[in-house]
Order: sequence, then structure tokens, then C-alpha cells
Amino acid sequence: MFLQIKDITKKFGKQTALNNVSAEIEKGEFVCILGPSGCGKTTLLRTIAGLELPTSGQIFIDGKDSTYLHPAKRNFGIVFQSYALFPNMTIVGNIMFGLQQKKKSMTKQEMENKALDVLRMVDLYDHRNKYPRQLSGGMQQRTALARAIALSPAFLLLDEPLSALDAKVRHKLRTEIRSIQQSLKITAIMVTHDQEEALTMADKIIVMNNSVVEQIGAPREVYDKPVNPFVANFIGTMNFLQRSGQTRAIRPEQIEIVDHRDEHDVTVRIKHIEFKGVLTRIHAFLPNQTTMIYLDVPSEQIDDLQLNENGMLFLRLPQEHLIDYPQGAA
Amino acid sequence: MDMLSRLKRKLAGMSISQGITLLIFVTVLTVTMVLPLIQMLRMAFLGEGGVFVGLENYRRYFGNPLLARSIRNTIDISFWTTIISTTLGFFYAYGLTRSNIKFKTFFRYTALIPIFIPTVVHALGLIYLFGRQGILTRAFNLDIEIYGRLGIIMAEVIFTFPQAFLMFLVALKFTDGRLYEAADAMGIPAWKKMFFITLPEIKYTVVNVLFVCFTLAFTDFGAPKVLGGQFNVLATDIYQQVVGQFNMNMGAVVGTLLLVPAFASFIADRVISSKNAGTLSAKATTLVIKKSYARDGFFYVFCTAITASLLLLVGALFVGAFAYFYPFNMAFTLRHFDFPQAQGGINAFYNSLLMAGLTAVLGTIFVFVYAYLMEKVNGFGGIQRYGKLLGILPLAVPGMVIGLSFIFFFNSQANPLHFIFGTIIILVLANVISFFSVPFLTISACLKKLDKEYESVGDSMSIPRWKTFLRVSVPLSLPAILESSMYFFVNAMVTVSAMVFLVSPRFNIAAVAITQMEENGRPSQAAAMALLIFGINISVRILYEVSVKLIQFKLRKRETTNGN
Ligand SMILES: Nc1ncnc2c1ncn2[C@@H]1O[C@H](COP(=O)(O)OP(=O)(O)OP(=O)(O)O)[C@@H](O)[C@H]1O
Ligand SMILES: [Mg+2]
Repeated sequence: MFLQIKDITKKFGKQTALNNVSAEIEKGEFVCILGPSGCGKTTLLRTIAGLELPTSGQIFIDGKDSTYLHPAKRNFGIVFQSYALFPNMTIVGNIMFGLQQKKKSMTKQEMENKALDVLRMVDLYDHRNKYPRQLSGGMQQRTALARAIALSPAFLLLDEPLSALDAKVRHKLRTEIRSIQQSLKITAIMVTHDQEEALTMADKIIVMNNSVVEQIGAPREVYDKPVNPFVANFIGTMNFLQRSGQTRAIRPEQIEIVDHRDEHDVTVRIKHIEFKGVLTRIHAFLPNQTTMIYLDVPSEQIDDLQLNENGMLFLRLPQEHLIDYPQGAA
Repeated sequence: MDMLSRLKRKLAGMSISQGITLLIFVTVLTVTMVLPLIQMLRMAFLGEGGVFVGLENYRRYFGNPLLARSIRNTIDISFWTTIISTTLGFFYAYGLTRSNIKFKTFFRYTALIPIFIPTVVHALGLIYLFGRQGILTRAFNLDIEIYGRLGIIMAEVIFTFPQAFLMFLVALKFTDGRLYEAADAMGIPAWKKMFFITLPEIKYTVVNVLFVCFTLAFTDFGAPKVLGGQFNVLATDIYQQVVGQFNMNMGAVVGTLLLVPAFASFIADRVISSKNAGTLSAKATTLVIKKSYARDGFFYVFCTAITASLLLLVGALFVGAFAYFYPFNMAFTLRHFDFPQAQGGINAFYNSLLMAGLTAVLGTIFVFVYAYLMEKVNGFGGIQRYGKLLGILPLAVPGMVIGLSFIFFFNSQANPLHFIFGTIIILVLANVISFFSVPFLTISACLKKLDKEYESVGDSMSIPRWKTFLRVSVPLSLPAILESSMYFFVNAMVTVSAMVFLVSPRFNIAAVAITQMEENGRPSQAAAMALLIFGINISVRILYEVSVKLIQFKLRKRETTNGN
């Protein structure tokens, strides 16, 4: 185990930003901290970096208690949402600034080669002599990434690195960050509030809400077996049904449309058909007329189904995809 | 949690070296500002031989009809100065922002002329214009009694006008054009727009300007010193009590009276700035100024009249300084630039340059580091709150009071810092403290705008804080640094009030020398010295403007050109 976060609590005055948070991170893993705004993601990241000190609890890096270790001694690289590039230095200057300090053993030539290497890695070699403000947002973010990895840190911390970028650039950078992380085999911890980002990039997701950790697991695991309704709802969409004294949940895409009704199937009335691209989402009422159920159908099948609003539909909820929660949990 | 781990936690949260630096800076400011003030307050309640006498000094002061009259006089001239300066400043700024007159840049810079010369010189200029042998007196056969109330009010108006103008200029520049567009759509007449849109929008500025003008006039020493005659004000009283009669306790009493409007102004400013923050919405549109010949005509006349008066004032100084023997022999001469040795000769000017230069350099360095410690260091909440308050406190302390409290504090034999008394060190110190707040606020605002993660990034790369400070924070704050240096320099060149108590015969400075030469019946030499100060201040200002333009040009080039 590379990094252990143990019972961390962090208070700002009366406000608790982290409440008894524990997590373990393996070497080389890409971990996403996911959660709604204000739930404590940034605080957790900054605590790992040593930029904030926990009110109680411990942090072990490589097995050593590093709770009070100075940030400079933790050997990490960090990328902020605001990039925090030094505007008075060129792109290569930004990267050299850190190198000059940390790698005292290197000659100037070696340092420069190193800087140019990382710039090639993020595809900014041609822009090395520009100033940050002359670059687009995506390029600035790649510069920040290059600066963070130039010192060959033991781990990389990223605080919503992509949220200030537009969708296209964001998707491209996701892949880039991931592939750089894998080729360097570096441990990375990234904060995000975008569930899709977490699902596509992470080896492991830490889902947080209201200063506590709700669930830790691989993307598949968190998606297929959310431990509670919060996680279920925060990642993707989930239908909750009250049945025989239990709350049962199922994802919209797991629901099947059937021609003939079995005893376990349900009849619903279609309220609205929403085209969403590859999938089409059907909003329908359960017989009780108040609970809404969503199901996703591949759009190409929609025409064959000949659905219309207010029409009836038989649905099958496959047993293997149903998740049970205690009653009233949703 | 046990004691040890709590302590460990506490220490780990703060960087020791930053903590020590912070403590040192706050202590320096406390010792050089707060302690002298406390000393002065104490003196006000002590009698002969240092025994506590309670309010006895105040009773004696108010019981003396002559002294009590000074209070009425001071309030009187401050009141009229405030009314006149606020009105003139408002219309001048209005003309420059809300009309289509030309030469706005020219008008803007000439309005600043009074800032570049000591207040004694405003008075001196008035004497050259309106005195018994005054240029205007002779030309138009005027009979204006310039010595006394009227002259002082005129001089204080000249002194406070640029301040009022600048504050209104800022307020009127930033306005939401949509309000006026909406009013136009409803067909609301111009005078109603003025009373229901313009004035309410700048009401906080109006209050601030009123307070600032009142305080400046209330505490000024230079003009009443030269023009006072039989008309005494508080600032000249202090001087007489302390320098004339060696009555330190009475001086302290008057000093506390000077603090009253300054503190009221200070509190008003604090209240207002907390209310006035960020009222302009991002959607605000710029105001389109409509065509109006009548309005523009009025402002041409108004602004030209004010500009002409100020230029006339400077012109009078030129006449005084270069005429062989005004008004009897108008031949050109440079002989008045040969300054009397009793006032330090030309050395007084060199001393001023040295003092202002040191004030600018040391003051800016000190303020910058101080503001940085307040804004960018974490984990010292209590000390930092105290430090920030200390940083703006000098706004409430008039120069006269600083000078006085410095004598009480540093001139005491018991004080280990006594050795700085009578040296340039104490003059520089008094200047840095007198003019501390404006640079402090400028630099703090600038540092606040810098990304707070620069330090975090630096930490992650093991770059020591001092290096991030020097290589990132300082270069990014260069415009604020230049502005602050210029502010320190110009003010140190012109200030008299704190200095009169602190200069020694061995080390005189130009602004004080002007006062003394004027008193000794050498107005021509006073005018000559005034021109030297004026010239150097203008040069510094130009240097500043050019540097800022260069920096902006360089930044723009960086952003627009292709770096390849
Ligand atoms: N320096 C601080 N002082 C006081 N309160 C803070 C501080 N930093 C964070 N908080 C509070 O702690 C809580 C958690 O903040 P944090 O920044 O960690 O949230 P987040 O999950 O990163 O949110 P976001 O997605 O909006 O960035 C918030 O309620 C925030 O107001
Ligand atoms: Mg955050």
C-alpha cells in the first residue's frame, strides 16, 4: 500500500469539512475523488498534500507517518483547476523553475533536456517559449501537468483539472492524462465532480458526500453495486421501487420491455419519450400513478416498439440486476 | 488529544521562519506607531513633573478663551473648505467623465498640481497673487485680506481639491449605463437623473470626500502657519505650545483634539468600504455620453477656470523665484536659488531628496513584505487581524500627531532608540508611518488578485517561500510597487506637519526650509525651493507613468504576439 488515509477529520472553525475519512491507495493507481460541490474533495486532496493539516487522524506515505511532513518533503506534483502557472515565466521557464530547485545534482543541460522531454510528452514542445496567457486553456492545463510531472514525483494530485475546459478538449485531455499516468506508472489522485470523468478514468473511485466517504471501489463496482441510494443516484440514474417491505433499485438500462406480462412484471403508462442520442429514455408512471420509472432503450429499436405517450407498456425487472436497500432508504 | 500532539500540530501548521518574520514586522510597526501614540495620549493627562492630573489640562485648555477660539476657527475653516472643495471636485470630475469636452488628459493632470507642492507653497502662491504687492492685487486693484480666515480657506481648498476630484473621478468613472438608458426610455429630465441616479450612486463617495476634506483642512499646518496672522488654528497652536513654550502636555492635549475628526473619518471610511464593495454588476454597460453644447460649454468654462487658477498659482511662483526683486525689479535672475545657510542652503533640498528616496525604497519594501505576510501566510489569524488593522490605522493619524508623538517617545532619554532622534532615520520613519496606509491597501489589493495556489505549487516543488516571493509575487506586483514608491516619494517631498518637530538644524529639509524662509521674509527663495520640489515631483511622476506604460506594453506584446 502506497498511501493510507486514516480517520482524517478536518474542521474549519465550527464547520467540518472531512469527517473521519479513511482510504487506501495502491502504488500506480489512478484514484478519483468524486462528490457534489462542497463535500470536502479539495480539502481531502490538500490534506494529502500537506497544504492543510488535519484536525485529527493520520496520513501514511509509503508506510511512514507523514501527517505533519512539510509539503515539500512529500514528493508530489500538483495541478490546480486554475492552473496556477507563473504568468511572468515562459512555458519552459515554468518547468525549469521547479527543476532548478529540486534537482541540484543536474547540470543545466540535463535540466533543459528534462524540461523539453516533458513538454514533448504533453505535446507542447513547439510552444515552449510562449507565455501562459498566449496559450489556450487546454494547453495551459497541459503545461501545468508537465510542470507537475517534471520533477518525477512519487504521486500526482489533480484538483478538477478539466472542469474549466470545454467538452471536446476535456474528453481529449482525459485520455491524455490517463495515458501519461500509465506510461509513467505514477500514482495519481484526481478530484472531480463529473461522474463520467471518474468512471472513464479511474482504477478506483472514492465517493464522498457531506464530508464523509460513502463508498470506495472500482468504477464497475461503484456503478453496479452502489452501497446506498446516494451513491446510486449520484453515479448514473437509479429507479427505486418499494416492494414487499423492501426498497429495490434498478438501473434504467437494465429494465427490459416485454410483450406479455408475467406475474413479476409491471405495467406502466408512458409519460414522455426523450431522445438522448444513442439511447432513448422513457419516463413512465407505475400503476400507483405517483412513482416515476425511467428506462433506457437503444434509439434504433424505438421505431420497432411503436411507443406513444400515454400508451401502456410491460416491463421486466431482471432479478440479477435488482439491488436491495433497507426499506425507506431512498 | 494530548498536549504534545496538539503542540506538534500547531507548530506543523505554521512555518516557523514566516511566523518570526511576521512577528518582527508587526512588532516594528507597534513600537514605531502605537507606542508613541500611547505616549502622547498619556502626556495629555500629566501635569508638571509627570504627575497624573486627570482632565485638568483639558479644563485649562478650554478655559483659555484664546485657545478655545482656535477650535472654533479650525472648525470654521474646515467647514467652508469642505463645502467648496467637495463642490468643485464633484463638478470637475463630472465634467471629465460625463461630458464631451476635449483635453480631458490635460485637465486631469493639471488638477493634480497641488499634490506636488507643500501646502505652505499653496499659501505662498496666494500671497504672490493676492498679497499687498500681489500680481492680481496690483493688476486689478483688488483689496483682499489674504492673511487670516479667507486666505487659509483658499489655501486649504487648493490643498484638498485634488483629493476630492480624484475620489469623485473614480466613483463617476464606474457607473452602470443601463440606468441612464432606462431613464431616457422613460423620458426623465436631466436634473432628475442627477438627483435620482447619479448622486445616489456615488453617495458613499460623497460622504467619504466630505470627511477627507474636513480632516485634511482640520489638521493642516502649512497654510495657517504662513497665512495665519492673528487667526489661530489647532495645528499652529500645537506648534506654539511645543516649540514656542515647551508646554508638552498642552501640545498633547491639542494633539488629541486633532485626532477626533481623523478618527471619525477613519471609522466612516471603514463602514462605507464594507458596504460599498462590488456594487457594479458584470452586466453593466458603459455610459454613452450624449451631445449637449450647453453642458459642454459650461464644463469648458468651469474646468478652464480651475486649471487657469492652478497654473496661475504656479506661474506666480515662477515670477517670485526668477524676478530680481519683485515687484520693483523684474529682471530675470537665478540669485534666489542661492539659499540662506541658516536654513541649510541647497543641502536642505538634497536632504529632502535623500529622505524621500529612502522613504520610497525602504517604505515600499517594508509595506510590500508586510502586506505579503498579511495576505499570503496561513495560520496566524489573530496576529494577522491585528496587523491589518495596524496597516490602516495611519489613515486616522494626522502628520502633526505623528511628529508630536515621535518627540515624546523617541526624545526621551530612557528610550534605547533615542539615538535616532535628530537623524535622517527618524524623518524617514515618520514618513513611512504617515503614508503607510495607501500603499498598504494598494499592495494588499494587488496581492489578493494573485492566484493563491502559487505558494502551494511552489511548496510542492520544494521551492522556498522567499524564492516564490521574489520570483513570482514581486514581479507580478510591479505596477503596485511603482505606484507605492511614487506615492511615498512625492508625499515625503512635500510634507511639513510631521517634519517641523523632527528636523534638526544640522539636517533641515526643503519643505520645512520653505516655511522658515517665508517666515524670515525671504519669499523669493521660498518660491525657488518650491519650484525645485515641484520639478522633481513632476519628474518622478512622469517616470512612473512611463514605466507603467512600458510594463503594460510588454504584457500586451506577450499576450498578442506569437512567442515562437
Ligand atoms: N480554508 C477554508 N476555510 C473555511 N472553510 C473552508 C475552507 N476550505 C474549505 N472550507 C469549507 O469546507 C467544505 C468543503 O470544501 P471543499 O473545498 O473541500 O469542497 P469541494 O468538495 O472541493 O467542493 P467544490 O466541488 O465546490 O470544489 C466547504 O463547505 C467549504 O466551505
Ligand atoms: Mg474543490
